Parts: sequence; structure tokens; C-alpha cells
Amino acid sequence: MEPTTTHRTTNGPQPIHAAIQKVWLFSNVISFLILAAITSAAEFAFIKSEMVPWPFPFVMPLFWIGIGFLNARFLKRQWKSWQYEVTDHEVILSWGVWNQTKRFVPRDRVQHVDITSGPIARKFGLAHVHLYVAGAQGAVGGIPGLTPEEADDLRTMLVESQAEHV
Amino acid sequence: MSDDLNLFDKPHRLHPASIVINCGVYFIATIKNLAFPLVGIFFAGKKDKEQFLTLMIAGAAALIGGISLIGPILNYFSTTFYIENESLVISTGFVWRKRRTIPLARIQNVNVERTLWHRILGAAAVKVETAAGSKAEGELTALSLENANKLQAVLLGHGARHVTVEEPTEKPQPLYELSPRQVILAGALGNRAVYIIGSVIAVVQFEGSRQFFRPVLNYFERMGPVMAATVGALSFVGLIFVGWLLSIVISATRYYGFRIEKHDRGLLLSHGLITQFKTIIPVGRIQDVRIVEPILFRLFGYCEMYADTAGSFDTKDAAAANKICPILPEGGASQIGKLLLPEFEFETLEWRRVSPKTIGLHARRIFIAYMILFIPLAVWLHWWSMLFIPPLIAYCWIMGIISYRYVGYSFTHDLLVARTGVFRKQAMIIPFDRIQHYTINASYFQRRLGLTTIVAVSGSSGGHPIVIADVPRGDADTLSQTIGTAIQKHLGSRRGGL
Repeated sequence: MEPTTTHRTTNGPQPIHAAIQKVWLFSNVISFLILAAITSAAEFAFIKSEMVPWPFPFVMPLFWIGIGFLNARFLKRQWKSWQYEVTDHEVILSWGVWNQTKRFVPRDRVQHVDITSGPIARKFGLAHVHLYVAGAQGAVGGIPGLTPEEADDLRTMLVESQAEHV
Repeated sequence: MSDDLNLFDKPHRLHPASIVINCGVYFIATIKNLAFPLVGIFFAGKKDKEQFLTLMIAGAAALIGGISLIGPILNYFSTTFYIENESLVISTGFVWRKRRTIPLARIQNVNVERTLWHRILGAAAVKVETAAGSKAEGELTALSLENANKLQAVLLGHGARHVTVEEPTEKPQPLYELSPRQVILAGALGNRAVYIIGSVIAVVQFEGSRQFFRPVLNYFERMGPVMAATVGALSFVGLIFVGWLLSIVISATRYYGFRIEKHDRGLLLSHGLITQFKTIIPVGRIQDVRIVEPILFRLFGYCEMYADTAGSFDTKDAAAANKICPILPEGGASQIGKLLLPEFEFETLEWRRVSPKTIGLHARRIFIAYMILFIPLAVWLHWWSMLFIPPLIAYCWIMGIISYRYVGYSFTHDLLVARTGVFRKQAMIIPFDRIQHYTINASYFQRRLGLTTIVAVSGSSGGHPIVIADVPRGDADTLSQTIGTAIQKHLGSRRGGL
């Protein structure tokens, strides 16, 4: 049965907000600092017990700083790779630098939509939209880097199409 | 229907048999919960006199025994269930009260399970599944058999007044049934020797196992090398034989009297010698069907068939296991398949192959996995370990070729089908109207070769997606368009689903 109703769409693929790079950067810095602290403490313990030959616990912090720099270099490419589109029938999400993914979620399959905004994202005025379908253990798709108005509009767009099918 | 709901409109208690049945459950749970504190107490007092240890053991036994007995009694008096506002309400807990409400419309499946204890005590357990969670969301340990059958009928939405306790003297004609020979064959082909060998290795790893095995080791030391090798080999064969016998016994007890019958709400699977299982498969809620061919099954021309509903999990519990048929002749898949999905097709499908470049990619993937296992060997043998690499590369390449020759996909107007595997081959069938979302994914290496992977996910919580790896980019785009169009075409075409 071909559906005859037309829904609101995004009129083509949409990029996410550029400020998301700062959110990712801050989040990564915090994550890498925690990892560096834990691994440095472990390294310090190994040095104390003379299980490693070098005298100062610098290797692990340097390692994580290196990883952090590499990661920061890819943030722009990561942002550019992110796109979302709401067509008449589907929500299409594409992302990824090394592993490129394009996910299609039929609009009628969306069970509910969550909007979240962590402290860092809130600081930059951004929100994250999560899509849920039946039978999945968690969100099957998340669109980061939307302004609260965009997120709200997207949620309304998807919920409207659900209401039409009731 | 409303009359049926009225059968359970007042709070009902569990059957008193639940006290006996729960004793075992609470005993194991108590031991688990008290294990760490007790070990701590024993170690704290190990320097003291022997009397302290005796006192501790007696105290622990009394504590475990006490909780094991008190728990089931409190559970019996504090657990009630009833149906209110089209929902099943289960109220449990003595100190911390919990009331779970399960809307009847959300119930995916209801299983009635009878262990040996249930059968001796004239009771049955009822397990209620919804699409959420990783275990049965509602579990009533023991009801009278009459109430269990009535509750199952009411929850699954058809009349309960006519439900009787007595087994009908003449069983209806089954749609499919297994002969005793087939049940034994299913066990014989699913050898569990691996578990036995694994258990022996695990025991050997234990500290102090040398003391345990000392007489055996002494016996081996007294033999000559040839004799020791022969006895060792014979012991290994013996273990496999024991595993094989065990497998047959397990299969015979579990699948004894296996039959599939038509039921108002789908298919009724009944089987079991000691624990009897009666599982209703709600056909309208089946999300996907899997045909699995483990290597021994394939050699003898048999396969297994599974069907996943939105509420079924592989590890959920034995009664909810989604194995539809433990053994099936290869050509007979359609006979059962059509009972599960009216649009089922398998033997007549035209298979499309993935790109031949998959051979190299597949070989590289398994080579990397083996190289991780190879590290201990390299530490032990140093440069000599390099001698293993050429045969390993050849092996991985051969596996790549075997995989390429089998892996493929197909689709009809209604179904998307894919097959994968080298040793354990599996064909996965998802109706288009059950696909919840689908993804095109390309890793860096795949992009360099112009390949992609397509993943289609149904609403089965067990998480069995269709994964078609290494499809040429153009074919993947065509396939994704086909899936998108087919999903739209099938929207709302099936009743009783999610």
C-alpha cells in the first residue's frame, strides 16, 4: 500500500553545526586527561616496583597527548563527514572518516525521539537528537551538533509523521 | 474476552509448590551473595583455633539454609498477580515492594514451563515476554496447571473458559514432528565433546590439580613413551565418545516428543521428557528466520531452524529459546518456513555473489585474528615460529575462497535473504516489512577496493542482523534502493507485529 501523505522534509542533506568540533575537542581532552591520569598512576606504580626500566612516569602522558593531537587533527574531517537528511520516507544519517557509514531509518519505524544536551554541548548552545526503533537495545541513530531550535524542529517533524500513522 | 479477563481480576497467589521450587533458586542465590563475605570471614579467622572454623562453617550453613527457606516462604506470601485495565500486574517483595505492570498489548510471548519438580507437584511456571529487556519480564514460578493454561490463554488474547487441564486423549494432527531417531540424530550431530575437553583443561589449570591427578600421572610415568601416547590418544577418543553420548542424552531428554501444532495465535511447540516445554510462537510477530547448518549437520544433509520474535533472546531462558526445529532435512526448510512466514522462499532463490575481492579481505581479517593468537607461539619458538606463517597464509586464503563460494544474498518481493559462514553456515531471512533500519558501511580498506557492507536490522531483540559484506559499491546502492522501496511498499501490510 503506497502511502499518499507527504511529510515535512529537510530539503536535502543538512550539515551539523561547526561548533560541534569544540564540543568534541573538550570532551576528548577530558577523556584523554582521565586516561592519562589513570595510566600514569599505573606507570608510576610499575616504576616504583622496578618493573619498567625508565625512571620517570612520562611515557603514558606523552602517549595520550600524541593520541589527543592526532584526534584533534581529524575533528574537522569528522565534522565534514556528518550529514543528516529527512526525506519523505526516511531519515538518512551519514558519518565517519575511516569507517564511513550511511544509515537509513524509515520514518514510520521511529518509536520515539530523545533530545539530550550535556554540559559541554549546552555551553556551546548545542543539542543531540537520538532516534529509537523497536527491538533495539539503544538509540539506532544520533544526530549531534544541532541548535536546540533545530533539534526541536527535527523532533516535531519526526513525531508528526508518527501521529499521521496512528 | 472481558469475561476471561475477569478470571484474574482479583489478586491470585502462586501455587504452594513455589516454596519448594524456589528453595533451590534461593539456595544458589544465597550462596552466590554470601560467597565473598564468607571467604573473608574464613581467611580472617584462619590463624585461630579449629573450633573457630567449625563455628564459622556451622554458622554459614545455618545462614544459607535459613535464607533459602525463609526467602521462598516470604516470596509465596508476598507475590500476587492479577489483570487490571488490560494489564498484567505482578506484585512482589516483602520489605521492598515492587509492582510490575505489563500491558497485554505489549506481550510478545507467554511460555508455560514444567520442570520435573513442577510435574511432581502438579504445577507449572508461566514466563511472560515483551519486546524489552534481556530476560522474561514477568515470571510466575508456580501456578496450578489449570491456572497456568488459563493465564496463558488470557494473556495471549483468546478465550480461557474452554481451557482444560487434562491432556486431550487424541492429540491433533501435528504440522511437523520428530521421530525418536531424528531426536537422537540431532544430539549425535551436535557433539558436546568440546565442553568436556574444556572442562578437563579447566580442572588441570587449578592449583593443586597435580595432587588430584597424581595417580594418573604416576601410571603414565610407569609406561613407555609409545604406550603413554597410545593411552593418551585413546583417552582423548574416549572423551569425545562420552561427549557424544552426553549430547545424545541431552537432546533426547530435551526434544523428546517434539511436535509443532497449529494454535489460535501461531504455532505451538511442545517437547521435553523431564522438563516439558510448551511454547507458542506468535507467527505474526516473527521478525526473522534463520537456517543454520553446523558442519556435522551439513555433512549428513540436515540443518536447524530458528525464528526470532521481538521478545525472544538466545540467552533468555530455555523455554523461550528461539530454536524452532532442532533437526530438519536440508530440502525441508520451506515446509517449516512457510508455517513461520507465509511468503517464505529458500530453495528456489537466485543467489547473487559478493565481489571476488572478498577473498583477500576475508583472508586478511582471519589472518590478523590468528596473528594475535600467534604471539605466545612466537615468544616460545622465537624465529622458528615464522615457519608457521606460510601455511597459515595458505589456510586463510582457502577459508577466503570457501567463504566467497558460499556467501551471497538474494531478495524476492517480500524477503531479504543473506547467507554467511565457513564452518557453521547460516542463512538469514528478514521480511522487508520487519526491517527497522539498514546501513551501508565502508571501511578504509573496503573503500580502496570499491566495496561496502550492507546491514539490515529487524526488530528482533536477539540482535541477528543481515550482514552482506564486500558488495561492489554500485550493487550496494541498487540494493539499498530496493530495500527502501520495498519497506515503503510493505508498510502496514502485516497484522500483529510491532
